[in-house]
Amino acid sequence: MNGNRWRRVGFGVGGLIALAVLFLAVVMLSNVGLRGVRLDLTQNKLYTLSKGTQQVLGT
Amino acid sequence: MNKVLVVFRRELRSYFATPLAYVFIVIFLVLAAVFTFQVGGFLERNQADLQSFFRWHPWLYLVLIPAISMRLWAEERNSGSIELLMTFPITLWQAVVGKFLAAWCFAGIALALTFPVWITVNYLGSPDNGAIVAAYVGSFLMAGGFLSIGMCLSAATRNQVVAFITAALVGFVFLLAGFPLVLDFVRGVLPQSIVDAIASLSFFTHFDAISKGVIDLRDLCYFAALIGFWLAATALVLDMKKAE
Repeated sequence: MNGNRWRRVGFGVGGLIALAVLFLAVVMLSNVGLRGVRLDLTQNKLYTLSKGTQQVLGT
Repeated sequence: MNKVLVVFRRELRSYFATPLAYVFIVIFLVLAAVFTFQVGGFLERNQADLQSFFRWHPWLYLVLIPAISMRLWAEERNSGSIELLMTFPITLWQAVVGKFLAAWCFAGIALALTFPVWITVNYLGSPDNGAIVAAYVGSFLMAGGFLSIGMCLSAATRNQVVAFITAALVGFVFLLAGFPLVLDFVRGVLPQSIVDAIASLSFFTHFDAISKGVIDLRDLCYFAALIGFWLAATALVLDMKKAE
């Protein structure tokens, strides 16, 4: 009975650590991998390059 | 999914069964107004935006959201009703998600009731409403982040005061990790990539980015991962405590 309880707690603590690592991995990977996908809601598109700028830059 | 909805509806209704919900909403609105107009100097700034309103949201949530989240599981455990809940034909996960969504919806209602400040700024000038919508979305997501932290810590204890204080403390750490004050201190010791990594773990960094008017997929991803992590942690903690 007592051993069973400790096994459960050990399992839970292990799970929490695994979750924390997973969370860190997701945040770090999304920081690197998801760059540039954004929705600019400002009225004058303040944070988006205009067509003219992109032409000048030659992209 | 249906059962999540049942828990959700029952929980949300229970908020409004007592005066607690109304007291909370009134305190939130009064504090938001005081900070916007008195401390933030909304009128003195002479600018048609809501920066002085949203700037204070992280701090408001830091104190007020634990007040919602502290009772979520600690109260159930203290009164013993958690045992009844566990015997219902719902999984632990469904109960966790249902309770969380109800609390989040409640926080959303409180946030939505700040609309007079939006009307005010539109009456006085012509603000960038797109940026305001984005800031509201960011604020709502941040409320969800604070709530999920508080919920997990509420599951860990049967004392609501302990749940409140620990939730505020952990929320404070998550908030502070993005402040220049802390980052400048760390920058002297650690390389830049680690400083950026620490900053990217903070509510403040992501909320600040969204409230400028740009909804970046990275910010959405962060909040989704954060809420998912703390909800899963809640389920784990509840499962662990079941053994006692």
